[in-house]
Amino acid sequence: METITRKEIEQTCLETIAKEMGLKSGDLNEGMNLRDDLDIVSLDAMNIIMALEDEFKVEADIETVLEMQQVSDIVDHLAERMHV
Amino acid sequence: MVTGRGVVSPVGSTVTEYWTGLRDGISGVRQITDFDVSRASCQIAGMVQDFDPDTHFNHREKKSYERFTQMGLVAATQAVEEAEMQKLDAGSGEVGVLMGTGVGGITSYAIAYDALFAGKVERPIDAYTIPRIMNSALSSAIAIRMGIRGKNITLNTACSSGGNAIGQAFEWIREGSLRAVVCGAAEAPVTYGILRAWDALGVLSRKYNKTPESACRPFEKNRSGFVLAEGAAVLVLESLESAETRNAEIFGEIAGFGSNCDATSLTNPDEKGVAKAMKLALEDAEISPDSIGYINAHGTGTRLNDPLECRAIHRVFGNRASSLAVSSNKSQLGHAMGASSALEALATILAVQNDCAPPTLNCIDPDPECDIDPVPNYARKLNIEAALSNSFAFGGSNAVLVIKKWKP
Repeated sequence: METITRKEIEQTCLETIAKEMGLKSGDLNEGMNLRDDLDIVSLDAMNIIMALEDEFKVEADIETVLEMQQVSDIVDHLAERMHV
Repeated sequence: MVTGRGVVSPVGSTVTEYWTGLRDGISGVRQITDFDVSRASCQIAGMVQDFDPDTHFNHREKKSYERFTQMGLVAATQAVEEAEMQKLDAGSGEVGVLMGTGVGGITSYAIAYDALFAGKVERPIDAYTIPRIMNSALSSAIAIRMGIRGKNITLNTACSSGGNAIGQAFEWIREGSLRAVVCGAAEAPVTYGILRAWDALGVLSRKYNKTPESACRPFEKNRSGFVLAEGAAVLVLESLESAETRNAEIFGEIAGFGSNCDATSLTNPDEKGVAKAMKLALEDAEISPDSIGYINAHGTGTRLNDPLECRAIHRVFGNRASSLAVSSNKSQLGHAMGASSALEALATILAVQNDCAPPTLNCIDPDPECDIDPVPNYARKLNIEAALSNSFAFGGSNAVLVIKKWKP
């Protein structure tokens, strides 16, 4: 199995968020606040995390995800789950 | 009183386009192109053209609202704008919403089942699926967009949902519990599963896939069933006192409502039950059958419905029934299930307002078993002081509205 880097996880996260929210991934960065900057509500967060679970074949902790503040929190959580 | 009207339909998506389309005998029945119909016996439906969600909704609304909600919300916005709802204090609790639908967010069911069962690997279900499929999504969406904080109810009586919603809203206003109600119905049932399911009942027209506009032929010898359709019609109903106080324009009056149940069959209409609904509506309006100048029929174009509806009209109107103008908008729109009765109630309001009976399209060779005047193929100018809008449904839930011309 190929080793994935944190940077690759970040890029996939940004693309997934952009797709779900109708935005351009190039306009996003991992310092952005999920609610204030990206208008992500719980249903959006669920769609994003389910898509990422499907992409990376990992299971996220939903309660943890729903309490996340920034894009980087999602990236860190997935990286931890994938032992990156 | 009717103080606001809105519509999204296969023949036009403004009230003016809708009326012009009906009056001029335009057909909204077309080849279905949204999905593969090659294995379906009926490959046509009454489809709304040029409905662009991007024009009406932001990204979150598009995700949240399924097609029936989107169409209903566009029609409701037209109605509320025409009624100048901002003058009605929608947040007071004295304004409500009562919408009908038959199958609600059926498209999202199909997408979810497709994700679960259609591929080798199960795919994630969209988190917006439940809010999209709930039948009450439209009623809630209207309240959210308009800030309407009174009663908010969604009603389902299958194909008479719209008629019962408008009738029940009329009763709320008459009993004084609300000052105004946004009411009507919306439906977007044209999915592969629903198409095949209706076809399995043997009631869809299969003979006219090459000439969709000639498929639905109510009251005609060669009728062979209906075609599915989508659309929405919404009214703002308001008490006379409220409308007069704020100088609102009044487009017509809901004067009576007859609602009953055949209590005989899940699928077959009952002549006595249907006739009883018409009588109840006339009694409720306190007018005689002689006052009715036009009947907007349920008129599905099935072998069973049309002669039965005509016999029921004879039970109520006696010998006069043979010469009574009775037409079916389904010949032009198709059958929009729960929304059909709201679309047809709006058509009836417009017929009364314009003193003009819209036609029954494709009525080339009228069936002598349908002993009424079907207003074949061309609209007819005639004085209409009052009219009936008939809607019947699987399960036997009938809804008949009496619509009167408004004279201050």
